Amino acid sequence: MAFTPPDLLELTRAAFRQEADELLAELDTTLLQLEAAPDDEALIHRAFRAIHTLKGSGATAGFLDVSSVLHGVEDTLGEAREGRVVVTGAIVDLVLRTTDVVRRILQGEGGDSALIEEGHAAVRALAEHAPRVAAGARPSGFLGAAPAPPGGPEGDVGVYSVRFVPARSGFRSGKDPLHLLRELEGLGVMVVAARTGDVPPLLDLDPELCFLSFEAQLATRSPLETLRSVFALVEAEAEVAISAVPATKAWVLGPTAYFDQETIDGFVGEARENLEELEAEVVALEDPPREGGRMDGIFRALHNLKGQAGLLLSDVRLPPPPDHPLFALRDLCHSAEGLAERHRGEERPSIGAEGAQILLQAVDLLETLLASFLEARAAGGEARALLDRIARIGGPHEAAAAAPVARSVFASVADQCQIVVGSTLRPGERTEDLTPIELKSMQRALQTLARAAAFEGRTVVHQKAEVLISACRDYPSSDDRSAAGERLVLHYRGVEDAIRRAAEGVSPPAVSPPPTPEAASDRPQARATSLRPPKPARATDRAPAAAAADGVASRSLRVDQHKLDQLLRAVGELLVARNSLPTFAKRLEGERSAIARDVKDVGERISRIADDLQSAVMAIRMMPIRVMFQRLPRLVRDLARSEDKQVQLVVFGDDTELDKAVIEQLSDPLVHLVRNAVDHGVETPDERRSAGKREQAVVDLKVTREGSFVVIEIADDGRGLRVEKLRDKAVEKGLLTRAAADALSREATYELVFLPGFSTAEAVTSISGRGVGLDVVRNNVRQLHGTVTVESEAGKGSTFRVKLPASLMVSKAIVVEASDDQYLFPIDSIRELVKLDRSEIHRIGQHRFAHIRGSIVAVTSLAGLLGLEDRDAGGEGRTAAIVRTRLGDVAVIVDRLVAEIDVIVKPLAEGLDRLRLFQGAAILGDGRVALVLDPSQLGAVAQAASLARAAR
Amino acid sequence: MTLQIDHSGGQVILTLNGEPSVSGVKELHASLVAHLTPESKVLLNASHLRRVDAAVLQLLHAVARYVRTFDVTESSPELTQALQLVGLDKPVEAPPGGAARLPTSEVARRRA
Repeated sequence: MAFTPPDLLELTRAAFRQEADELLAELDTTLLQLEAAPDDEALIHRAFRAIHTLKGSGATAGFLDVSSVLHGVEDTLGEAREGRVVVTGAIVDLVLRTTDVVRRILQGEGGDSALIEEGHAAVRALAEHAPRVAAGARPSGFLGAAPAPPGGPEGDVGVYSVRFVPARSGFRSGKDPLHLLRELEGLGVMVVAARTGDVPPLLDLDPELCFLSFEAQLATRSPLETLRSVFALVEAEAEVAISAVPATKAWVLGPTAYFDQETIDGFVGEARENLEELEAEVVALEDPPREGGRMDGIFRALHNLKGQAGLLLSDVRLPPPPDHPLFALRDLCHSAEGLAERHRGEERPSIGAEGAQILLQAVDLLETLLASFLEARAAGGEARALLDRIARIGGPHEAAAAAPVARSVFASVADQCQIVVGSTLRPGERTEDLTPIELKSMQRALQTLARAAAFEGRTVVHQKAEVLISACRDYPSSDDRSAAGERLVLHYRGVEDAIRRAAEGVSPPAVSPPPTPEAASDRPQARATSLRPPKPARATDRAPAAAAADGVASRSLRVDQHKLDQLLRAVGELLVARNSLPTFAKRLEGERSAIARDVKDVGERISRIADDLQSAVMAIRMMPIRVMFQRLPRLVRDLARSEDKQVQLVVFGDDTELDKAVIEQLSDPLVHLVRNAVDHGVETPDERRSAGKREQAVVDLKVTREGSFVVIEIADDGRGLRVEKLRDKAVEKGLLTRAAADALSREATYELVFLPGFSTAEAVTSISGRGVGLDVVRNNVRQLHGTVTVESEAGKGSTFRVKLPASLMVSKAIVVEASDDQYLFPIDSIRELVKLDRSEIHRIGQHRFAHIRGSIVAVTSLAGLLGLEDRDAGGEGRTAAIVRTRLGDVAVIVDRLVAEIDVIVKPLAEGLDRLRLFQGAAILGDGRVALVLDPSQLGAVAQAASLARAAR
Repeated sequence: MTLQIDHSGGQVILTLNGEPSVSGVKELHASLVAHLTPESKVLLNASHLRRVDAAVLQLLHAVARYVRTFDVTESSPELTQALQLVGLDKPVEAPPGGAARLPTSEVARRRA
């Protein structure tokens, strides 16, 4: 068995955590945009969708606490969507507070009751403080503005029948029935029928008496008592009867009783487009020579419309009654689609006059049904009559063809489905003891797939998914579980195959002939992509680069990072093994030169393949740094608010890609640097005004690629670093003598901010720090084999520059020899390799220096640093690697330079990790293990040397 | 509240403005009865109607049933919402020989 139930649950939870992380980041961005543009309906919708998705997925994954907290947020955003709540900064704050709680719940195990209560408190505050718009001030029309049933969980929506007969003197008593009905309507979605049968003719009418009575049906989450309370003031004189009605036996209510407004809008827009196309094609059937082609268009439009209606009906908050026009619309499309299908293509018989007339009637009726849907009218008997007529002239509807469709929604769902189902139904695995939870999970995933497939017109996938769902249902009652399990695997192969074909744009030959060029036009695709179910709509919210990547989304697959790491390690080993081939070839030279040549040739081929493989695998691990940046706008906003500052964060180059591991490890240092910029770098608005600056400061976050490195610059236009103050602080803290401090160059002075215990806050601003110094940032960056530097100008701002290798897994190194042993220098730490003439090396006390290209560089020997015998042969000069350190360059003398190779640096074994001069070990081409030097520790030597020099 | 009644080309044009309510509905009724007959073809312009109550809706409904044709040429949002709220936006029973309806295509168009 592939997964035991706990595994499966944990898989679902892990998938949700990952999804939630992305959604919350996007939500933060959306909310911050919303704060700046509170009237932007698109942003409100986007935020609502994100919350809705999180809530639903959270519940599915078992995070009921998350779901319950988000439910309240969803209600308020739902009201905002309908124009009944005004979005303010306070509302955004409260929503952000709840999303923070959700994050914290997801980081833990979700059982912290205090945390959950904190979330609910924020939700209560949200409900209490949300500024509500007066009922009469709703911005859009009646149906468009009708509110979703408020309050309580979604499952509690009820339908009530209300009969209200005002007293005859009802108008005179000052209790306008209209007012009461409006109040009732405010509780949910309502349809009213005014009974006018008792109203006398105009000439006999006493207009001050009320002859009207009303019957209403209301979908609401409010309890019966709330409905009764609406009529409390008139119940003594009026006749009021309220009773619950089963939803499926209720009247057809306004569409917002069943669906959210955005979904309705999307459906109606698409339906109208399809109907227009349909009408044009049907009318043009009078042109018989092109009938076959026309029929493709007719089929496609009907098929799309059917799919859209089906998708809508698959996700309702209240079951519509059987006479709801959407059912009739869907069924009529299905039936008419079958009629069109039988006459598609040149070889098929012509549809004939009667068929064409039926299609025309179907178009008219579909338009009527769409209007009925909007106007809360039940479907009449016309649809049934037309269905009967279609059935009379044709046979049963054959399997529909797969229309050319869009891919994004479907692709995403298909990926998820394959993860869930594919993990359980692995070929060769036991399938005779599947658990109910596994079956349920598979069914749920397949139902989602079937809906997405229907929505995008991927009929074959839809059908095969339905078959597998049915097989899952039958499995528990099967006498032969082994055979039933095999059937599941077989059917799943069919689903996989259909998904693959759909992704490749292959029309399954067994189902229908391939579409004509006309049928393959991109028009239906464009329509299909614009109608998205709530959850996958995220694709459109993403940045342009991500949206552009959507086109290949169907070929993507979520892969466990651990598996990817294993693959990359294997590639790395291959690269290292490749290094050994030249060694073997060299050993063969002379006696067996022919074999040596062959080995070299093979080695070169393997080398090319290994390089390609490495590039391909590395590319898989790369992801845009945007993922990490998403949390920063929120951080800047919160921090600026807390300090009464105005700060604008401007991001450049966030589509630059880095290794996922680098991004994950870089997050904390980057957050610290951005926080540092806002906290210490940027002045208050008053200070900025006094300095002649704009009140709003700017923090630029810029990412650029430099060869195999990525450079991230965090620049603020704040107060900058003041050299004198930094030097004074260094002296004050006893880090430097006065003379040493004064001797420091400007650049070296800036480097002081990275020393442990050196508080820039006290030195430069007066604002206290946060307990984590820039030394920690530098250490973190160093662990990523990167560097961090700072440039600044007093009064104008500071720029921190982080430079990192784009990927960590395989790196280049220089092999050097010292005292007969070989060591490795990471190549990015070496500025240059030089030959030092003895006359260039000067000695002052215990320290050696050299003039290299006009600069004084500390000189040391690797053997000396390692406590080995320095085998100075006394020749003409010494070979040295100029290594970058934080306080300048150091020339490290070595006995010999051996080669430049690719290595995988592995951490030192426990116990050896205290060897401070080394960052790890790697395997050389001949199989020997070599230690990799840590340039940062070499820098410490240089620093000591530099300070000693300055002290003199 | 103001009611202006004009006759033009065989049609009666009613222009109803302001906030008519039960307090003025008797006068409104009297004016309408005085000017309308079962043969009248009525056009209602209510574009500046700011508020309306059930008594006025009941009166308009009675008018629509009484005259030969009744069309709302211009409707304010308030009137449209009120008619839709109580379900009086559906066609009313046609009077003998007439085809009165409330609302008109204008209201329907707005809703669409």
